[in-house]
Amino acid sequence: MRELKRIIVSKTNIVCIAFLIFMNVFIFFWESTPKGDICTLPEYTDRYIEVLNTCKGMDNEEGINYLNNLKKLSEGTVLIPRWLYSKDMEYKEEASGFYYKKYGEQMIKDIESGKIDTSEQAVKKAYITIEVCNILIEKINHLTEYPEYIKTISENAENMKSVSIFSDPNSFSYRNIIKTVEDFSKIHITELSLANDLAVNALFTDSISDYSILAYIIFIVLLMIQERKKGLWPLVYAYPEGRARLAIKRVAILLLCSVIATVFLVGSRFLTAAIVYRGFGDMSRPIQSMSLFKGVSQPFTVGGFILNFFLFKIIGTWVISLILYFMMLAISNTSLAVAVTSLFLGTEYTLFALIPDSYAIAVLRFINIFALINYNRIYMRYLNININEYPINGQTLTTYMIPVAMILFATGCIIIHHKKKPFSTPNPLLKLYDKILKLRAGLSDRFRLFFAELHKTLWIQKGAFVIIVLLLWAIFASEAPPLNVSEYDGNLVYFENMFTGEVTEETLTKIDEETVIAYEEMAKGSMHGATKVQYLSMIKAEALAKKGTGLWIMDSTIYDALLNRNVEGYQRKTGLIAILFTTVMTAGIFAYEHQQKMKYLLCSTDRGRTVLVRNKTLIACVMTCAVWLIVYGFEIRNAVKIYGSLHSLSAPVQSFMSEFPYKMTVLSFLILIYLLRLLVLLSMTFMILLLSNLSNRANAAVITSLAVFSLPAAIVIMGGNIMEYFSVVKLLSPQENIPSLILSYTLCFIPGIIALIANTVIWKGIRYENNNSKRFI
Amino acid sequence: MSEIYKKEEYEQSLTVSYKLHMELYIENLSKYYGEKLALDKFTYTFKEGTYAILGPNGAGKSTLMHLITDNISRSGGQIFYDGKDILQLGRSFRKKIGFMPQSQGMYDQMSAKGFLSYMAEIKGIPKKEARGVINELLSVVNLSDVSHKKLSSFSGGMRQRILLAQALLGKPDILMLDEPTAGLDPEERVRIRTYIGNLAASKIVLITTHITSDVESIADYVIFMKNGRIEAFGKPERILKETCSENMEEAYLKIIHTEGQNAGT
Repeated sequence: MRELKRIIVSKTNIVCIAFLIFMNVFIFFWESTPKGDICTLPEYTDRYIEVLNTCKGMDNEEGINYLNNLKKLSEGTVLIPRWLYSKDMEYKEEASGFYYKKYGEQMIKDIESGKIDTSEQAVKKAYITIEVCNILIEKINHLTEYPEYIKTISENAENMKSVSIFSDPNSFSYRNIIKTVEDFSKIHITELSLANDLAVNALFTDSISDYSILAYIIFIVLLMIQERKKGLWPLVYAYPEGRARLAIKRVAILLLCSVIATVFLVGSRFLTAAIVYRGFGDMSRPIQSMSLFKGVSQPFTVGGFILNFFLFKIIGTWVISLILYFMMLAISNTSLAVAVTSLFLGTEYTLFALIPDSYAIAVLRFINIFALINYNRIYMRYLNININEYPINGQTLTTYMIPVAMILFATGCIIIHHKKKPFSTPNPLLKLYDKILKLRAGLSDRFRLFFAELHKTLWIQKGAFVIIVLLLWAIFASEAPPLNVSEYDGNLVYFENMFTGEVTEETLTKIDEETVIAYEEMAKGSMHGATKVQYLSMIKAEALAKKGTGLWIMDSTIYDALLNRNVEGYQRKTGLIAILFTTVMTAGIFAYEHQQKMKYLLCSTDRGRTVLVRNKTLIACVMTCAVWLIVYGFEIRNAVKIYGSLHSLSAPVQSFMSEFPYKMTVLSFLILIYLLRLLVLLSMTFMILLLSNLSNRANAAVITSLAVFSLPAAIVIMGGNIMEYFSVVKLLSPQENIPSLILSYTLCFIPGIIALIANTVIWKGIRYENNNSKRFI
Repeated sequence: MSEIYKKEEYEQSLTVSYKLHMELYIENLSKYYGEKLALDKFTYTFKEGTYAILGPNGAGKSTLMHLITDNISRSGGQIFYDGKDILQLGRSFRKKIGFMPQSQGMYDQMSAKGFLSYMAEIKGIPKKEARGVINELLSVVNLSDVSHKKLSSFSGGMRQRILLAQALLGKPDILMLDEPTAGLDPEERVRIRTYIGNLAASKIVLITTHITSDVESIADYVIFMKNGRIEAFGKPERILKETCSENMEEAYLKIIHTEGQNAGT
């Protein structure tokens, strides 16, 4: 079938699938990497399985005891050496009671004598073990409590029936109680068991990669209506197989694409999870064995649940594709169709994300396109909606919506395809669009060339869409930079805030006064007093060291967070976002002219060779600045939200970065590191512009630039540290030891400047003849 | 309407002969775009032969084409093929047409052969038959050597030839070519005209154009349109004689720019 070949076997489709598979796998690693940067995923998995296998043979109580003891041993391995080998004798003495009480004399002796290994490797393993134990304890508690939970549902139901407001058999409340008990009575609670849940938990946690299927389907639908953009519609429509029969073929192709999308995109995540986490465990155990699936009321096994999930995804994706195709067919003008479809998707998402469960219109969350994407939120939560005093399960609404929508929209697509003629009365919305175009033309006259270039980048090359996606990421998905938890001491922060400022005699006097009060409290038997004494002595030591140097005592939490080297891989991830979006925004700027075959026409004019290339470079710089502003602006905003304001900006930066060689304030340092990031991005932009100028098509320029700049950074995040040397992502992390990195920064800036000059030369097309005279093309 | 035709010829053209094979009869066909009348009660009978439809931009030539191919809905009138309404004939009528639109829209990433295969499937031609026909047509339009190349690399003339080739797939009875030589250099124009001339036997060929030299070479009949109406029609020699013109261009100017001969605009 030629249409099948055109859509499925096209190079574009294959590249799209490959790219989305890569993105899915990458996002999987991004989301699954253990926090704290303490170990790799394989190390974590190995330890988890080791401890799990030990617990499996035990009953629940035995298992909990074993895990608690193991956790205690691991905590001791981490904390005791710090206390034992602390140089602060006062603190050591004060804390000894606590450590002896919690860990026992034997453990402390074993650590002292070296019987318990406290090497770096052992401490790392201990950290992992603590994490693993916490998770397994939570799992075993779930297995213990879940049968009770189910029993409680029945008991509560009986109790509630006796309460007057719930006792009316015709009310939603009464019917809801009965239905809930009935639904959960089907679960086989006696068969719950402990197994390797890592893969299943990772796969059924909300992930942005759930939307990769939506992206793929949108791409396929656009491919299908390509005939309209290419002007082929009248030709195809005129012929016998170009109407209903073609429509039926396309509906079938959409089903095939849904299968492909599910198998490859969802399947790639499953395969990755299975490999990384060593399988899915016993597939015949009830899905309710995991706390994540507490809300599932059907008696699924893990295997059955996964199968159901795949089937749902295939059919659900098909329904989504039919709805989107229907919308694109219904409106003749492609641009208008895209705009209306985008508006529809935005509205659907808003309804899905924002309507609270308790509202009457919550039904619109379940009869919603995004319900077909977010399987987790629909099928892993138990919720009955009040429809005319009858409780209808949200899952049921979504499930029944599927066949109805399928028939409705498949039929609609075929009918529209058959009946809608290529030349019809212009859509009235186009008149409004016309007015906007007139207004835009009026504005563009003022700054013709710059505005035209901006229009090309933002509108024609969809730069505005990219900025919106970046903003959405920044608002909804960006995180505050994490702190290195092991270095954070909340008590110390409290006391630092008490004495914030340059250390003077007055500061020392205040500390002494507080210390006296603390001793008095301690003398009365107050533990709080003892703690205060401990921390005040630390503050005093710090103050004495800083006195006369101009340095401040200050809470450096927010700055530690902003300047953290790479806790939880945060810096690399943020750097990759900045690189990715800068690349996509700027890669098409010059390539677009080659693609449109405009280069020679433009270069035939004087301004086309000089002013134009300056404008394009300026636009690229503006786009880069916008990306930098959004990514790092939100970084600061998120940090301020979590850690408090950017205070003590006039303090010398050595107040918390003693090793920094240059004298400057905190504010100047912050400006320096953020400006360095901007310069790194700009340098990269100039190199991207050069690649763009050497490419014939915008898509090729984007792909090449992504491969050169984003791919190495992505590989670094997935564990390939060697690629750090081929990526600018390292230079986008704040560097304390800036002088040692001057060479690295220079090696980054010089190619950028060379690229900038080369780009201008190439654009102007200066060639040297054999006799060394310049010749302009 | 112009008096170039003889009365009996006009009456003959209006006769609907239900027994005749290959006859396209258009009766009072009209099309409004909003308030603008694009085609004004167009009435004509097309039989075997090549019909050149001449007129300025906005005369209604392309509108006529799109109405015959059912790409637009009518505001009034009917179209009959062999005595039956084409809307009732549906697919069976669309199997008999070959259409070459004005825009050179194609799937640029397809090869020439790939595109023709695709169009053959859209035209309902069985796969086995299509293979042989495609090879034959590629040699007819002289593109066999480049059949494997992507359409994006084709020049304007080559693209027109491919579009002509797809129009000829399935040996249609009615060939509709909307501005087939627009934008081509003189050499390409002559080449396309020659192909059309060779292929027009036992078909109804409708060519819309505003290039008068196309008409002189290949048309059996000429229809002049202006503002959605027929201004004049007849055989080229008759038209030249009646308008006392040396060439079709002169005749065109005389007919199209003569005032007072258009009724009911």
